[in-house]
Amino acid sequence: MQQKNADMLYGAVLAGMACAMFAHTFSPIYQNEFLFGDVSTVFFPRVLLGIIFVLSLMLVIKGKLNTSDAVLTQINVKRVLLTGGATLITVIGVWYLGYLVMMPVGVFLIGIALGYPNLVILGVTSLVSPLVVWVVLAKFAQVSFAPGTLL
Amino acid sequence: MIEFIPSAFAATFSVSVLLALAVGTFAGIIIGALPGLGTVLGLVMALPFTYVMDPATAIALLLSIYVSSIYGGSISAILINVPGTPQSAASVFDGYPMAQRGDGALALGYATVGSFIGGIFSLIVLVLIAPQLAKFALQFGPIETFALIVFALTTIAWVSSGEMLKGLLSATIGLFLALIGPDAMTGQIRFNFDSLFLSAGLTVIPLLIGFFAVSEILYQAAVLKDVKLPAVTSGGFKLAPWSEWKPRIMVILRSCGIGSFIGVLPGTGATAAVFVSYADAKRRSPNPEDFGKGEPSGLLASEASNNAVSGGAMVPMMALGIPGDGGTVVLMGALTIHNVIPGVRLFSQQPDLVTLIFVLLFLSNILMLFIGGFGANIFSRMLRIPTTLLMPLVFMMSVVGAYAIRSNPVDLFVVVIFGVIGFLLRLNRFPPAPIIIGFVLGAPLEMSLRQGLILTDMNFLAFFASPIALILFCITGLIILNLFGLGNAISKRFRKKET
Repeated sequence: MQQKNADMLYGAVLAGMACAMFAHTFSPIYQNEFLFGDVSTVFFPRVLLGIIFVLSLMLVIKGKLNTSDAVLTQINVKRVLLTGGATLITVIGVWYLGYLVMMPVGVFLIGIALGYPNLVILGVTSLVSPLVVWVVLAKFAQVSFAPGTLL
Repeated sequence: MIEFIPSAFAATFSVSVLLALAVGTFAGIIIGALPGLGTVLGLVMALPFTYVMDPATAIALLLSIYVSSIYGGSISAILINVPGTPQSAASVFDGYPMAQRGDGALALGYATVGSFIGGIFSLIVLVLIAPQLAKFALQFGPIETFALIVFALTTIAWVSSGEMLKGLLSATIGLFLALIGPDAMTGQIRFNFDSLFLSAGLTVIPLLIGFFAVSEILYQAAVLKDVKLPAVTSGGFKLAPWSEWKPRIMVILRSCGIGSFIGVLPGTGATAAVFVSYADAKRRSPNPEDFGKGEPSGLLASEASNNAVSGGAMVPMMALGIPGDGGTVVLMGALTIHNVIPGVRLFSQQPDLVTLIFVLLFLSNILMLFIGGFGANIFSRMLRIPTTLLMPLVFMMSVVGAYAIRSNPVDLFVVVIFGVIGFLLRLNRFPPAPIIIGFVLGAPLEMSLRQGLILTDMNFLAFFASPIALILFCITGLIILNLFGLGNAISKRFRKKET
């Protein structure tokens, strides 16, 4: 995807979202009586959404005029998806199984997704580092760690 | 403020604070030296450690990381030709050629001392300017505060990597995110879409971890080309004789001045300062042809100016509550956790704490000089750790930091969601720092606008009656005119007339 298309796409998405949010500010939940002559609770959001809309349209126009080099095609999509998937799995795992069970798996998965070649070093790092952080922060400093809802 | 210096030193000389300073300096240099990490990620990773610390220890840890990570970037710039942080981008020009010809230890000596002088110079600027600015800002009412925040956000967006439109959009998106949750004046819940989680509003720590740390991991995944270990040239530490320093004193002082001045301007940052200083040093040099081939003056200009930014950037943060870059926004968020609210009232209400911050900055710079000098060999070896091994550890610390702040697992998903959003925005060169700065300034901006409108009976034009606000609005207007390209058009017309 070329830069001009990316700018147009981002501008269009942001303008659309700003429009939807602007329409939401007319919802009945915001139609309250003002106290002491106060400004409406949606006055400032509407101003901001208006600015976002105008700037997004400018981005669309800029994208239409601009013909610089490709940006989005230069990325490694497969590795981004793998890394993103690994982070999501880790977060879900931490929620259900807790930090101590899931974080070593998560560090290992993200390392593999990023393409770290030495599995032995990665394995040792993924086992040792979460444990060290847990000992230092949970045992000595009393920082709270996710215990896991299933455990 | 002078009367608080003895008590500030007394608070500093406790085991926990000294240990935090030493560990922070050591970790900060390593974080700065490792390409792919940098000041912001270093501060984000240190956040969970500070939650249970007393304010003095927490501030000591964060300030030492902030100061030393800027210097750390020069180690990789000199030894492997890759700047560890964007602030050290100009250090590669002369640092690496010096290392290649076998003067790596000498280059590290120049970088360490140059960074130290820059740090101390900027601290003097901070001590002199920030209290006066805070005193002046005490006169500010809601109208002046509104004008100041609008000006600061526009400036931050203006200098956002040459993409002003995207910088402005980022800042406005950040402002909007701050509106989710209860309205500070009426208590009305806004933009929660019946979600219990959104009803409480978003908090800054998960947001900045998502935008800075997780988006960085995904960005590295997207752009990493290979995982080859960099070839490290000889490290060590060696000081040049006085005869080598003497002709370069003015270069160092000028670079310190440039760095401190640029640091005070919101959003400009160290990256701009180093290139301006480098260009200035080259222009004034009797032998500019040596620049880029291992000229110590080039390295000194870069290193003195990037560390001089550190104190300068803290001026608007401490005196006005306006963070100018990613580093100061994380610092401000971390200070807020410890009930230290940077802004105009910090100097009048907590002068003891302000003095403590100054003393800690001073000691951080001293420690950076010694640890940087004595640990040069260790830091050189650390450069062999590849980014692909570091990023999973960054994620681990992100999860720990996001969960520990409220013990709410939903914050983990906030981190991932905003990490993905931040990554998508960064792909199209939307800078992440204005989003977080906008988020931090969203509530005070809305509050000052609404209070100002109530004061003026809903007459926005009356905002221009305040001379301070008028000046700030005029400067903001000029910056916005530049956005529309009118500045270029006018200057072109003038040039045409002249010719």
